Formats: sequence, structure tokens, C-alpha cells
Amino acid sequence: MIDLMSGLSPAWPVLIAGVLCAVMPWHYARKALMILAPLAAGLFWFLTPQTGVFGVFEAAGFTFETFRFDPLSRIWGLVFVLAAFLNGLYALHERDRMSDTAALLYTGAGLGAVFAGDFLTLFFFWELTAITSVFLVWAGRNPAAFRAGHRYLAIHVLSGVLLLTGAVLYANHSGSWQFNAVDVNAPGGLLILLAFGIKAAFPLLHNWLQDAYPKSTAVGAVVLSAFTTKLAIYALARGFAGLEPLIWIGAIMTAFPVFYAVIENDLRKVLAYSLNNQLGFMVAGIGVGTALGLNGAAAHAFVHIIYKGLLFMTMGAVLHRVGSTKATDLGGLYKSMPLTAFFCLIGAGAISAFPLFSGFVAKALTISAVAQSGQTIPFIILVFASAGVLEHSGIKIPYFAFFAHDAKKRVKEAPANMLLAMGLAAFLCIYLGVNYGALYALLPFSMEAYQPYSIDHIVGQMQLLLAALFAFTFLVRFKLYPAEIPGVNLDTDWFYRKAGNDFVRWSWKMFDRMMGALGHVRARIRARLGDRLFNVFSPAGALSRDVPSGLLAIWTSVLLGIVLLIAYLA
Amino acid sequence: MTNETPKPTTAPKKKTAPAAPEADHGIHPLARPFLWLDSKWARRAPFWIFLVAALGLLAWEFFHPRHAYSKWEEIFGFYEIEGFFGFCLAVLAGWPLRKLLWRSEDYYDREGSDD
Repeated sequence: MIDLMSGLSPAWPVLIAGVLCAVMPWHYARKALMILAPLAAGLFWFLTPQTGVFGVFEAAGFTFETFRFDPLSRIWGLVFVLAAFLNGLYALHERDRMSDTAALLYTGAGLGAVFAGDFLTLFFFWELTAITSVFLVWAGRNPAAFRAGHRYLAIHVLSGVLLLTGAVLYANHSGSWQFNAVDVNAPGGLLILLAFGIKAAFPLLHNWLQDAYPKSTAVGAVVLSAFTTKLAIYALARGFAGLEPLIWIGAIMTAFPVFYAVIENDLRKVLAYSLNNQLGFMVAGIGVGTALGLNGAAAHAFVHIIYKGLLFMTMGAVLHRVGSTKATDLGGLYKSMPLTAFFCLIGAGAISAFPLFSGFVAKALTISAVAQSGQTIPFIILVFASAGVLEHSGIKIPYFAFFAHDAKKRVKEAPANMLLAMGLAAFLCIYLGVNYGALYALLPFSMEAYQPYSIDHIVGQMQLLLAALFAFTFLVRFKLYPAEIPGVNLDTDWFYRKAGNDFVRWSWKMFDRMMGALGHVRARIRARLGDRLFNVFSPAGALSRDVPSGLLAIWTSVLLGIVLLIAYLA
Repeated sequence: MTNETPKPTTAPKKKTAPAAPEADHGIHPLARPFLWLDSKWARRAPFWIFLVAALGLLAWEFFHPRHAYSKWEEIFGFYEIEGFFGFCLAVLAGWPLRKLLWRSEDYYDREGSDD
């Protein structure tokens, strides 16, 4: 029975707006939808009176829960709505119906997945995020983006298939399709974890992110950065909180992208590696699984969506004006894009977790949770990764784009709508850092006892950041910092983009050769057999000749003679 | 002859003269008060500022030992040690990693790859 009156999921207005966008040829009407749809979704979010499960209906013997509103989904839903609004503002200048439609449908799918109460609803929206978001990659409209989109789609559809397979096995075992805590040892549990892990860009499963996001448009990368991976983090928090290996997986996730980011020339790719690193903090918090750890993951996801979106916005503005985000093409842009540079510095301050910025009050929770869990090595790795964040997102992005050597790119400042979106995001980066109570009030568990601005914490964090900043100036002064050079760096995508590709091509060539050789053998056999048959059955063949016929007659006569002789003697 | 000789000298002058104001035109009014960032001293100063600030916080820790949650935090200057050496490790590892992993920009676009 359809029960949509008791609570409407914020996903619906966004999805409906997305469908309308697809058929709407008017640019301004589409842009109005991109602003109004998140506002409507926000209204639905605020009007939902209490936690509970709404929008429940039954079909084909299954119960679908389309709107589970509880402390965990609540915060993710709100930040998705917020991000959608900022994205809508940021995209106002762009005349691209495909991109507008994809952005809204993708956002709606993300909201739908976050509010899904059962595995089937989750699967539906999980796949919808993949199918809709790939158009944002393809919006780059060049062969590289087109191919990256195909790879992205293949990997995400695989994630969905694994999720469905795991869910079927798991439901068969548990007797319920409800999406709650998942036992990883139960049938299907590991498959579900793997499905979430692909979307969360676990180590070795991560490279779809760095492959696809930087090939999207200025707007596309901003939209993409918000939803997919954070949806996976939500799913992990819902399904696998307290799973200890996640602490280690998270710690590795925070550390290895740091090394890649140092040698990467494309600054949007640096941000993609940085995204990976930030997800690691959240995964580690989920692995700890305590109230502090889960709050850390939720708070980090919330502020991360905003500051990472802001950083992608600033690089999008640079791409929009300069046409490139490669460090080798940039430098000195603060002279022509000072506001964008200023907003980038705020985003950099937030992601680096300077006190009074949002990253500080969020990351404090995760690192405290890991420290209190007694996991000493992951704690060391997380602290190292915090210095690494400063390196790639705090310093490298603003330094190489807006400062460093002056590349003499005298361009216009970013369009007004981009500046407005960046300004709002920058404001939130500071507001949530100062008025952290507003953020903590949204978290799944009570945070009344936690005080992020303790002297120990401020001093410890500033020691880390100042020592790292000094290390940067030290390395630059003594020319130990590797210069940026154009190129690509091999990562795990090499296995399918190069090795796998070459293997398939080699296999195809070998198959082609084999078929050729088989054809040759067949032709020879046919020729030989044909010759023999011709020799026997042709008009000039053996069977047509007189001698064999006579011979047969002789033999027949001989046999007849023998028979007669035997008969006579007998 | 006398009319033709000055031409080569005056022509470049005409070309170079507007170049400087043209480059200056591209600078945003809001950025003009910050052009000192390009000066030599502004580029050198952060080294000393960060060094002094880091040493200052180390002195603070000496007089106000922190309440440690992890045994590592009990080490004096733990965050500064990890901040400095962690940062150096990440950056210096870039040299061998680049040798190992770097390929030309068209690596995946060559015929027979990635399509």
C-alpha cells in the first residue's frame, strides 16, 4: 500500500526536476529548476516531523522503504541538499541540457539511496547514481572523457551488481531485506562490503575516481565530487560500523594518495587524490565504530562535501577562464582572479584543518576516536596524512595555481554565479569551524561532552601544520621540491587501461591468427579430400574407368566359380 | 637613406612601449594591494616565520606538556616531528616515484591503448 502522505523523500522533487530538465529546451527554466529543486528538497527535509520510515509501499511481494529518516540519514540528506543548491548556483552560466539533467537526476539518486531503508531501494538508487553521473563525465565531450566515462560506468555497474548479488544472498540468509548493520561473515556480506568499497574508492579499487573526475567539465567535477563517494561512506557507516579492518583500510587510504598528489601535474587530479585521502579518515572513523568515530565520519563527510566542492569550484573557475588546470600552465593567477584565489585559500585552510575552519572540528573527532581506540599505527598514519593533506590541498593547489611563478595568464575573474557559490561555500567553511555546535547538533550521537578547541588540540594541530609549512619552505628553498612536469603517473588503472587492454588486443590478434591458420588447414584438408574424391568419383575418376569394372566382374566370376566348385564338391 | 635608417630602431620601440601597460591592465583591482607578494623578501619571509612559529610552539609544549591519548603523543614535539619529517617524506618520495611511475602525456592515447 502506497503511503506517501506521511512523509515525502527529498529525493522526489530533485528527481522530478531532473526529468523536467531533460525535456525542457529553455535555459533559464532549467536553471530555475536547478535552484528550486534543492530548495524544495530542503523544505521536505525540514518538514519531516520526526525520525521514522516513510514512503513505504509493497510491490511484487517486497516492501520498499523510500524514506528512512533517522539521525544517520538526516545529516547526509541535509548536506546533499546543501551541495545540490551550491552546485545549482555554480552551474548557472553553463548552457548544457545534458549536464543540467544529469546533475539533478544524480543528486536525486544520491538522496534516494541515502534515505533507502531496504536493499532493493538502495540498489535501485545505487545504480541510478552510476547511470546518471556518467553523463557528467561525458559532458567533457572529448574522446578521453568519453572513454573514461565508459570505464567509470563499467566499474560502478559492477558495484551495483555485487550489491544486488550480496543483498540476495544476505536476505536469503537473514530473512530480511532491511538495510541495517551487515554481518560481513554471513553469505553475501563480503560482496556488499566490496560493492561499497568500490564506490568508496578503497585502495586498489580507487582509480576510477582519478580517471573520471578530472576529465569532466568545470561544473561536472564539482557535482561529481559531492555524492558518489559520500553515499558509499554513508552505506559503510550504516552497514559496517565497527568493522576493525576498516581502520587499516582507512589509514592506507589517507596515506597513499599523498605520494601521488605530490607528483601529479593536473590540479584537479590532485584534488581527486585528495578526495581519496579524505575518504580514508571517514572510513577509519567508521572502522572504530564508537559514537565518536561515527560522529567523526559524519561530521567529516558533511564539511568535506563543502570544502572539497569549494576547491573543485575554484579549479573549475580556473579551467573556465584559463582552459587548463595543469600546474605547468598556471601560476600568478591571484593577480587576475583574486577572489577565486581567496576562496581557494579558505578551502585550503578548511581541508588542512586549521583552527577556526570546519576541517578542524571534524577531523578532531576522527583522530581522537582512533587515538582512543588504541590503534597506534593507524593513528600515526592519520597524523602523517594530515600533514600530507596540507601538502597537496593546503599548499600545492593554491600555490601552483595562484602564486608560484607568474605564468602571465591575464584572464577575467570567475563569473558572478561561480563567485557566489564559492563565497557561500567559503562562508560555511568558516561558520562551521567557529559555530561548531551547529554541526555537532546534526551528528547521529550526542556531542555535548566533546570540546574541539582545547589547548592541547589547538597546539598539537598548529605544531603539525607549522612544522609542515616550514618543511615546505625548507624544501623549496633548497630546491628539493620536485618541479611540476607534464605527464601521467601510472596507477592501478594501468592494469585495465594498458595491461588488460593490451592483453585483450593480443588475444584478439592471436584468435585472428588462429582462425586464419585453421582456415588454411581446413582449406588444405578440403583440397586434399576434394582431390581424392575427384579422383574416385569424377568422370575421369577411378569408379568411372573400365578397368576397375572389368576387374570387379573378374572377381565376381572368381567368387562364383569358387562357390560352384564348393557346391559341386559338397 | 637618412629617412630609412631610423625605422629598425623606432619600430621595436612602438611594439614594446604598449606591452607593459597591457600586461598591467590584466591585473584585477583587488589584487593590486597584494603585488608585494611577488617581491623577494615576501618569498623568503615564510621560511623564517614558520621556523620561529614552530619553535615557539615547541617551547610552549615544553612548559605545558599535553594530556596524551596515545603513547606517541607523549613524545616531546611529536606533532612537529611528524609534521616536518612526514611532509619531507611525502615530497622527497616524489623523486623516485616519478622515475618509477612517470610516463609521457600521450601514454594512454597511443594507438592500441585505451580505446
